[in-house]
Amino acid sequence: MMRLFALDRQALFLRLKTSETGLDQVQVTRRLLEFGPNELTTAAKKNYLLAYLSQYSHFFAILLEVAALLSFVADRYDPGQGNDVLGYAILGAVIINATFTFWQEYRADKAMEELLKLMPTKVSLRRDGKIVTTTAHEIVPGDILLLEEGDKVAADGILIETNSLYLNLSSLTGESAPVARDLLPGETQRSLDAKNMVFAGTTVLSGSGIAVASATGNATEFGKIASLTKNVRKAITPMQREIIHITRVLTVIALLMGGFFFAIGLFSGKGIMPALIFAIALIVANVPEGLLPTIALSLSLASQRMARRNALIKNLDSVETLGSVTVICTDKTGTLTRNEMTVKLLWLAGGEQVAISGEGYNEPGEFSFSQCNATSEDRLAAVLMAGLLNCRARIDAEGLHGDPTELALVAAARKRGITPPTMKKIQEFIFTSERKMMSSVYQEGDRPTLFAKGAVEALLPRCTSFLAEDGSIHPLNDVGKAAALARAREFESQALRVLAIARNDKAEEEGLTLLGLAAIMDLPRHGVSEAVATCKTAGIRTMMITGDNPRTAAAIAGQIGMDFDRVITGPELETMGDEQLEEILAKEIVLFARMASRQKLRIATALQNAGEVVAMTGDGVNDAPALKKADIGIAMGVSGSEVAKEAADMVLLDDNFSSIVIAIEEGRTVYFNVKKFVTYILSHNAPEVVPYILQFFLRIPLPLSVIQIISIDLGTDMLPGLALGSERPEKNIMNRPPVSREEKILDWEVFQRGYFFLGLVEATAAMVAFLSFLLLHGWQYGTVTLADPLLHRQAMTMTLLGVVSCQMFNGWTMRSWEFSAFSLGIFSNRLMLAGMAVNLVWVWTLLNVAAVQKVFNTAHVPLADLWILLPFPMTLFLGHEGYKWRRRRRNSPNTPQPDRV
Amino acid sequence: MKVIAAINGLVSSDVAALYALRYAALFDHTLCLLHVLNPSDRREEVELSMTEAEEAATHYGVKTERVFLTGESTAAIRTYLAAARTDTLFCSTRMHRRFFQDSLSEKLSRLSLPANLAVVRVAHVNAVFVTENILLPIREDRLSAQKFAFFSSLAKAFSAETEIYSIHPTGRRRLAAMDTHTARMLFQKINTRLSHYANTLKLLGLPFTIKHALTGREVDQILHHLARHDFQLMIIGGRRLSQFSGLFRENPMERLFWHTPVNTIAFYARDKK
Repeated sequence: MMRLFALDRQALFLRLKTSETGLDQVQVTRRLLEFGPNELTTAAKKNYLLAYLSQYSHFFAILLEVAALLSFVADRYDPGQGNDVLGYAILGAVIINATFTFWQEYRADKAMEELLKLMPTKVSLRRDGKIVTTTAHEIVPGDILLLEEGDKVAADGILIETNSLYLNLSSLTGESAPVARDLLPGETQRSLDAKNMVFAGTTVLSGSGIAVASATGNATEFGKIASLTKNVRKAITPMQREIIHITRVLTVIALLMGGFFFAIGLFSGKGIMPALIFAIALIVANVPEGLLPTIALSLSLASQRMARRNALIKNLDSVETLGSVTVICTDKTGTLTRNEMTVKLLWLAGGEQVAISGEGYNEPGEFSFSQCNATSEDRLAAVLMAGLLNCRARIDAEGLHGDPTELALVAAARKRGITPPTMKKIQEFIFTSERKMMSSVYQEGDRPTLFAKGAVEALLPRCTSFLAEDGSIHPLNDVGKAAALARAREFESQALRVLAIARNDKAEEEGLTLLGLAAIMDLPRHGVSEAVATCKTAGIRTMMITGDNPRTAAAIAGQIGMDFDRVITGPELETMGDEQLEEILAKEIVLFARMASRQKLRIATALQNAGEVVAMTGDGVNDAPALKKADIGIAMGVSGSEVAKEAADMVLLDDNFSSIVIAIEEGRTVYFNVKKFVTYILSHNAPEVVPYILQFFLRIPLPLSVIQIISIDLGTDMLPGLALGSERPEKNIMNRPPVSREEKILDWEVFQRGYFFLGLVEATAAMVAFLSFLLLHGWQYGTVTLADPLLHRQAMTMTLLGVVSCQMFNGWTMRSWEFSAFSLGIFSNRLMLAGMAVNLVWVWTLLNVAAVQKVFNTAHVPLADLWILLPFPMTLFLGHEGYKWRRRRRNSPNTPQPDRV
Repeated sequence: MKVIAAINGLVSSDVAALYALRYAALFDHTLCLLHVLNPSDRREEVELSMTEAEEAATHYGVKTERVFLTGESTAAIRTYLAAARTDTLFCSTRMHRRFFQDSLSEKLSRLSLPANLAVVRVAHVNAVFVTENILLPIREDRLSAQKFAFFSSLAKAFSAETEIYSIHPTGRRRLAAMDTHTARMLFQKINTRLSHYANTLKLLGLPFTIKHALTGREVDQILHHLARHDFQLMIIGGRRLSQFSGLFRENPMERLFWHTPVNTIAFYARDKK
């Protein structure tokens, strides 16, 4: 039996139940159901039920579940004390927290799916006799694929028509040389070797073709390879490590505090049940319930903000890694520069230099000769004509088609008003990276003419003559070649890419006549210089890795203000040992020139070994290993191959270097937002714990019930906490050094600010409010059980209000880690405004709605008594603003620093 | 005896019918082309598929018959199987909500049937014409006589080379602690237990190999193995799962059917009762 690629056209259609006109819509729908969408999926699907249930099994949840269980146990042995209500309340807190965290993570997942849809691959198909454009995942076996130059092949297929079709099969074979396709398979039994097959994941380098889709999705050859690379276990990210650290530290604090006071209560004769309830209260008070949903929200919002600014993050956890980036290794062409080539200078082999004005492909331009004679115009026309005829690019009403370098030659010819003559192209010797040149053979009558262009070092040795200033052809000797080479070097030192242009009266690439040199410039992108300067102030080293020669690379670096200590070329890198490279990279900024893609992997590894957090850009198939290796792999969305996008953590939708800097800014913002949030929630832990400790040691009534603690943690503090997670980047965020890998969110400063400064102010507010209210209403110190339960509930309400009012002001002042809250603007964080509004409504409800009062042990407090609360929120707000002012002053470069010892 | 191919006019059911045909040809069974009529039918496509299968059957000298049933599909097929002496029912599967799930083949696989059931997932339409290598992944040495009989029959029908891929599930820690000697002993033990099957394949004149893998993730390991080697067909043992089996963990068969790069047949042995 014959393989599919060995069948003739009719047998192929019969086997795949299709025809030349393609499938009809009903067949497409049915086949989509039969074979599934054309997409690569190997990872197991996320089970959302399991994901939800896992919210009940992390450290904090288990802690609260144990507390709820202990409450039920206490109620069993000592019924009627309301411990069962407490148990249910704690369980409710666990459920609310789990649901909220899950909901945030679910929304983040869905948002990521939506974001990833921003980069679909469009394909042209013939269906029902008509040409349709659709997304690649809708291709089914039997579809007729229409392939054009530059297309990405989206499914495996068998060619039924071909027109000089060349593919880049490097995603399958690793070999980037163009591979010709044919209508016959050749002598082979393997589909990969069949010359009439096209494969998913490859690209059309030139020509066109029509193929019948034979396999889609995972059944393609590319799908098989993808399954080999996708089954990689992911390492834990720094943020996940941080969450584990915070969770453990706070859990240990909660357990130690709970255990300590349980033991004291037991030994001081308070009885086992009160001691147990007391321990539960301390545990509940120390658990930061809103931590996990805030982190999920913060990462999700940052990724959405980044997408709006053309940086598409593929994995949420990569956002925070961005904040730690210390080195950016970037490509030159298309990333730092526009990849919009313009011929700026022409050197005619007769010796004249011609400057051409006008940037871009469509702007008009003028030609200025350094010197000229009667034949200069003709020789200029000969160079431009040779460039125009020897390329596949074209500029027409539909837009630009083809390679930017060739487009520059077409644009230069258009500026001079040169149009191609009616000559027939009969042969083409294609460009390869080994040959570094290409040529086209045209026929006019019986006479063939070959036009060639390529790298100077590749073309010049093949030239034996040149078009001299008198318009005749003269032999080209070594002195002439040296002069041409020297001119080429001069152009390169001005950041110009140089192409030699030649022709021949025979269809051979030897014995060429040199016509001249074209010096092409790729201008730096707008905003790149500013982005490079931002990187400098942000303590990030930027290193260029380019295939261009060192002179061009250095010239571009100079134009965009990119400093470098030394230049290393690809051949030099080959001779360098790993240790030597690491040593250099640890201290110096290096400009890498004449680099091959595979060498990027070595550079990324060396930088990581030197302790750097590396962001690496790439667009080609061969860049994929380096993108995977780097801490943040960045693929180009416009010019990048699908393989590079697949391997990367982030895709730049505009290929612009500036977008990387924006992404790093967002990464740092996430880190500091989580830090602010942790400080915010630690602040309310102190006023929740202190009343219990005081009640334990002093002879006072209970100032705050456990259910009131839960109402603070999951009620009043939740929305402002989330609002802190969504705060925008601070204005000096890119003036700070990168977040070190060793740096912890929960560091000493967070403890100091949260527990010992803001927390103590809030604890004082809570206790002063409680005791003042009691004293004003006739309470005597020493009376632990109040005769009037209403008075006790009112006093507890005052404690609660003391904490809530302070936290409301704390939320506002915590919006910036360093800057004044007044500088941020009231309406710049709407979630915070919403949080404040909800809090005010909630406070009113606690004071006035009987049903709520019953559940939360609160009572109405006369307005005349609320003045007690007034000074403390203001003290906290102004105190923290003062703290930040002092911090700003200390970190200011103008402030004299003590000499280091 | 009959071999039944369920036909619904789709490309994958045509391919399943061709597997059924090769199987029927080996045993000289009658190939029964069965279709359950339903309102959303494209009757002409079903008839065309049956005609194509009959033409192919003529080439192999296999007798064919057409059967059209009415009513609820699973019940109708079950009743028909009870009445007819059937060796194996070949039925292709397709994506409904997800691959396999809620399809007729899934419903049939949950029932206890008086015939073997072969659920066919088609990845390559043409692979049925060029089946040269067949893979049978098993867990350790767990290979039932029925499954082996089906596997070896198909291998004989296609004169294909065979490979039994024995997967030993193990955790990462155990894997790290395992030395070469222990692994070799384990593999030798499995080889010994599979030796009678190996001898049978030898008697049938079928080239075969037995390979082993130690892994914590069976489905990934199988997909990995398929990607690295050139198989045209994989036969896996089907397990009758409950409605809730995919609730907490993704159904491994569903996952294999979704991701497989080669044609795959899930085999369910007949209910002995």
